[in-house]
Amino acid sequence: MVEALAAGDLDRADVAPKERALLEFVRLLTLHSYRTTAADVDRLRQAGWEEAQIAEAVYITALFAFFNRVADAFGLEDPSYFEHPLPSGPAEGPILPEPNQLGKQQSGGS
Amino acid sequence: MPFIKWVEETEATGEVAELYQLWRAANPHRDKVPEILKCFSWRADFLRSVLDFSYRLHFSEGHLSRRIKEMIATYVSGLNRCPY
Repeated sequence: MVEALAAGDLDRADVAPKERALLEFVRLLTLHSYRTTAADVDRLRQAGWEEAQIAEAVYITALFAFFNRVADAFGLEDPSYFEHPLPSGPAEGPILPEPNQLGKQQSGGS
Repeated sequence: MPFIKWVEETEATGEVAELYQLWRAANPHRDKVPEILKCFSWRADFLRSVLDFSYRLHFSEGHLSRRIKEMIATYVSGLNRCPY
């Protein structure tokens, strides 16, 4: 399944109907987001996805579009960059200091 | 060689060096900072934000399971990678 998705081939991916509906929406957002309609979102609700889950799927989809654009612009050769998602998150915990502490640093400006 | 240069780990100073070090400390199993992160090294403040929001959104629990988020990430990158 991962291999099919990594090749951008949803048809070949062995995913449950509910997940397939979400990935079809992800495909729409990735390739032709301007065509998105209320009906596309409604299909996800019918498939059982909640509003917050649909919104988060949009954030993740857009986040990786962001990284893909940057990677293409810089010409990243390391194809494995696509194999495992952004390696910024260790299993143990966040990289940066506690957000509130971070928030203070940022608003203070460097 | 990347099309656009970035700040290498060996030449990083100040906040970029600090962020590279934070990343390495949090990822002991990895030997070098991923290229995608080095792309942001010209703006340490932005690199810090990228590390923060990508961890917060992608790697921490949210409304979607980690599994679904990984599937989305893999699929998006797959779609963006192949010429169509």
